[in-house]
Amino acid sequence: MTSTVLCAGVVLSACGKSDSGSDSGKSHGNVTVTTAKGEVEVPLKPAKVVALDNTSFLTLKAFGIKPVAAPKGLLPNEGFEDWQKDSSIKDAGIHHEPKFEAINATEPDLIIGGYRFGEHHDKLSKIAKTIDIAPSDESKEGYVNALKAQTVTLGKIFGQEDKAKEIVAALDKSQQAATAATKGEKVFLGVASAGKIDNGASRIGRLTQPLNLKNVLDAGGKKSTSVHDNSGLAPETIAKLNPDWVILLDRDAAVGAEEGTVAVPAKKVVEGMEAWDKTTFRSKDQVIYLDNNFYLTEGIQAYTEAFDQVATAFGKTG
Amino acid sequence: MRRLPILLATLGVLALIVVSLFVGSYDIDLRSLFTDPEARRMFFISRVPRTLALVLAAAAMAVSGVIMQMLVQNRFVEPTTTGTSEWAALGVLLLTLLAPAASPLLKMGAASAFAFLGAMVFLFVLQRIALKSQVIVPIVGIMLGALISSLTLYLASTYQLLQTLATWRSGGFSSVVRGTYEPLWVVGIIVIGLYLAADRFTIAGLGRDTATSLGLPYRRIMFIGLTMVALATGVTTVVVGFLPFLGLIIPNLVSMARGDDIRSNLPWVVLSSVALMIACDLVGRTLVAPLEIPATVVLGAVGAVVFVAMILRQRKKAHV
Repeated sequence: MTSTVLCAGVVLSACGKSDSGSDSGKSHGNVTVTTAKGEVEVPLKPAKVVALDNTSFLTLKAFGIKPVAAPKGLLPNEGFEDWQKDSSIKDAGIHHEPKFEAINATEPDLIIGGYRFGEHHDKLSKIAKTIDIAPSDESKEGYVNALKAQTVTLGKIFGQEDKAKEIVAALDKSQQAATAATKGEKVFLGVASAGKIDNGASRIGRLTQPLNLKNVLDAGGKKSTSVHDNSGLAPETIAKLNPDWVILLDRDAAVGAEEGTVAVPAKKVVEGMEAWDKTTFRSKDQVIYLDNNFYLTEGIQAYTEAFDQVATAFGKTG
Repeated sequence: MRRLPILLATLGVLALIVVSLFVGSYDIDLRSLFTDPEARRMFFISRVPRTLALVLAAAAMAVSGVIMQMLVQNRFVEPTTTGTSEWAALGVLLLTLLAPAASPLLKMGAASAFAFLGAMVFLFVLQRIALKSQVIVPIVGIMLGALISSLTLYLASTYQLLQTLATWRSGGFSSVVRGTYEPLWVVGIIVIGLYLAADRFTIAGLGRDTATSLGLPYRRIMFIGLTMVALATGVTTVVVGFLPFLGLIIPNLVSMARGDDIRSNLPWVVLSSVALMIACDLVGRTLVAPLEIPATVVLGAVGAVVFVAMILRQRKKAHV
């Protein structure tokens, strides 16, 4: 049993791109990490990892880790073609319907659960050591800082502390630039879905938490805006609130885009909306469309990129 | 003097329409409508289309209910209790998957075609069940609808379209502006068509044998009726989503009060549906302003209660 695991470890590290063969076949021991369920001891540099938390995918990729199973339905359209096509990576199903059998069959050393898979934690724990280090809105230090903690923890588990530091530093840099570029402007956070634009505060409000922006739908600090998040919002309401900027998460583009097409349905909706003709954001063209993959990644790299977008966009008008 | 009640009802609905035109986030009142060009512009971009959409969609669903109730000879059927709406939703979802960039008109076509197919499947199943009590028929319809809706859900979940489906099904009227509601005018034509053909549907409602012996081309009337329902359901589903129970409770309440003459009931059915729809939308619009609760959600809550009350009343009658 031990030998199979070790063999797999050797094969994996041989395959890994950025893993420059620093370790070979030795028993790695354990490492203690902080998770949402407290301190947990996990195997150091686990060979067979099931990656379920989509916010961690890009970081794992940067570490040169190839999971033995991942939810292929949750992989972003771009950048994960290799995982998508690789038959050695089993499909773990999606969070509505995980394929526990398939996960079990991979005999993993570690399952990175949490986030969308959070509610399946107990079942997954029966298969293998499962950790929840996903960022959450409930974390004391806020979602964005939780992303950093997640990255550091992953670095610790996979012996990639330096790479993790790099990723965190990139986020810090872009976040600082974005914070410096924003000066209390009024912003509307929208989610485009089914050709409609609704309040997206509960989904991307995290993005503006560290920034100097004022959400036009923020009812005096109360959480009331997110309660009726999907309830609908008349275009005339946004015209009346007249935000300086709009930041849009384009859910249609993330899921509806066909290969090879550049789908920006949200842009079409925004620019075709007659009711918004006279608003500040339309006349000054102050709309930020988050990357199509944001909805599916939501990890530290997605936030780094989004902060970069904000810094660049606001910097221009600065 | 005989026309006084309907006159008063019309005035009541007109009053609601005026309220609907002047409630919203943008500052529009009678004065600014004449003095402020920006307010006037917004009035025609946002308020007028929304109110028209409410009127047309309500009329469409109520009329669809009337037609179906006559054709099936059952008081408890309408597009949402026969699975017709669910079929329309499946049609739109399939089209979204096959051709994401399809125009709204194409989506309505797909929705209507599937609604028609759904109505046929319902009638086919209905012919094959022995027990046709007033209560069993809508239960069969709701079961068929649930079957189709679970298929839709499965597809949506497989292709990551659940959020899109949810947004679109409970869409309501919040995003209605100039340029999005216009297809609903088709529905207006259907309402007029029904008014002209009302007597035939009344006769068809007496049953196939009676209708045929009275010289009515029963099959053709059936086909025309189902086409009208499918079009109305398809278009309404695409533009504003499901409007649950509207086509059921209003025609029933009107029939209870006035008997089953479609032609003379029709104005009452349309007026009451419009009134209920606008009232639900006003509640949804003001309760959590500046956000909104979809009018369809409010309508669903009201409709479900009345539906259950009606079923219980029917059961009591059946036992006596």
